[in-house]
Amino acid sequence: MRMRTAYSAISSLAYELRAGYRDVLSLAAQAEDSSLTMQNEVDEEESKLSSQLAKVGQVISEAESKMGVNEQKANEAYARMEQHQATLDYLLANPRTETHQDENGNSYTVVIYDDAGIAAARRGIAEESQNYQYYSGLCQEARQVRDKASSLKSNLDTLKGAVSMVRQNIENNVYEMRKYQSSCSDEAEYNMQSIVAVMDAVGAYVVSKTFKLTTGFSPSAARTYTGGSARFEGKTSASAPNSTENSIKAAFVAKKSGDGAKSETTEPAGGKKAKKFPFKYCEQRFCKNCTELDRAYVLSYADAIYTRRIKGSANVKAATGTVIASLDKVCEELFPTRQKPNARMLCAIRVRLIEVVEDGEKTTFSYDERMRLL
Amino acid sequence: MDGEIYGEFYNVITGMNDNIAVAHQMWDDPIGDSFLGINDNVNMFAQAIWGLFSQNKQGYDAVKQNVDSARVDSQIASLQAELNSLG
Repeated sequence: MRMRTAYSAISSLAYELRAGYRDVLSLAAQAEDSSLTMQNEVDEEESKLSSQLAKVGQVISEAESKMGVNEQKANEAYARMEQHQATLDYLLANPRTETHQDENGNSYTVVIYDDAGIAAARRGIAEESQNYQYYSGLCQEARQVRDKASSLKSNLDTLKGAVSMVRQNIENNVYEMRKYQSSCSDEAEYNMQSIVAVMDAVGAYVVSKTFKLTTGFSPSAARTYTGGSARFEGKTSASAPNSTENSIKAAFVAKKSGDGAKSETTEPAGGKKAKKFPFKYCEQRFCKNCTELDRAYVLSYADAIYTRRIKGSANVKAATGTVIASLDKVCEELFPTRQKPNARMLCAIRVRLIEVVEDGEKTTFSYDERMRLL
Repeated sequence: MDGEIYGEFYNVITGMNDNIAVAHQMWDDPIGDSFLGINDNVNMFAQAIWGLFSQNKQGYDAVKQNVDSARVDSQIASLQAELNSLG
């Protein structure tokens, strides 16, 4: 009987581990896909930034060109203004003088300014001054545009550097993820083969027939990974006809040699372990690590399923078996708008459901009945 | 999608911890010990990949938060218009 317990318990854990490996591999594939999508999007952003940097560069170049042109025009206007000023100064400083005689024969001198020339020079000064102001203004505005564009370019350069670094990091991480996936797959194969060896030994001792796992596994958990599973189904135990409990231990001792793991002793005094169902809800199966939300979901699903599908049935145990056999479908039908339970939650719901049925119907599922159901 | 992945990784990692509890409960001999080792191994892969994915997500989010192409395009167009108005 103890060997049978060991067989069932190992099969339960084997399913858990296999589901864990599959989950990890499947999630790793999803994480890789999602990361590649992120990488592409970041890559696009980087390309856009490159294109924007080129455009800003053009704006800067154009602004500098306009600065140059207008500065030259302003300088030319200033030069002309200075010329007019010089003319004006000359005309004011060098008036024409004429000497005349009055009726008494006295001579007098008349200073004659070139009014037309002076007026023209003054107009010229005013006009060129305006031109100077105008072109200087244009030059100043072009400089402002250039400065703003330069500032934008500097920001975009910094941003592009950061985006480029993120893209490179994602690329490196995806490469690392692939390496981990590959290692995980190899480890899964190796470990599962070790477990199968132990299962063979135990299976031979217990049933001497086809090895078949029946506990704790939901096919929905097997999404993308199939490498390890093929080694379980249909595995025969004929290779280890004389296995004993010691051979099981020996197989695992051989497997674990060198890993340094050390278990804690939980066996009660006297050295005899009570026959305990391994997955008692919220004590072992769903330990303190699960979240309050997980617990709440499992409790509410199990209670509702019992009330709506099992309670009052003529054969409660048969009804429980029917529900458990297609639990994911039942959950979908009963709670179409609520969170779809994942494989792990489905396992917990199964275990909890049995407890609810036992409490509600004042009945007890035997150990073998539980193992068949789960 | 990303939220789902986070959730699933969380489930795997906590699920693996559940297994440790089960293994401790069931055995105090090399069988349970070996399962613990394998379990740690699965857990390690899940955490490592989750860590890498988290880094990617953080970087991606940072890019999305800081890069506003539409705004930059608009700024460039505004500068170009300002420049054109200078003749």
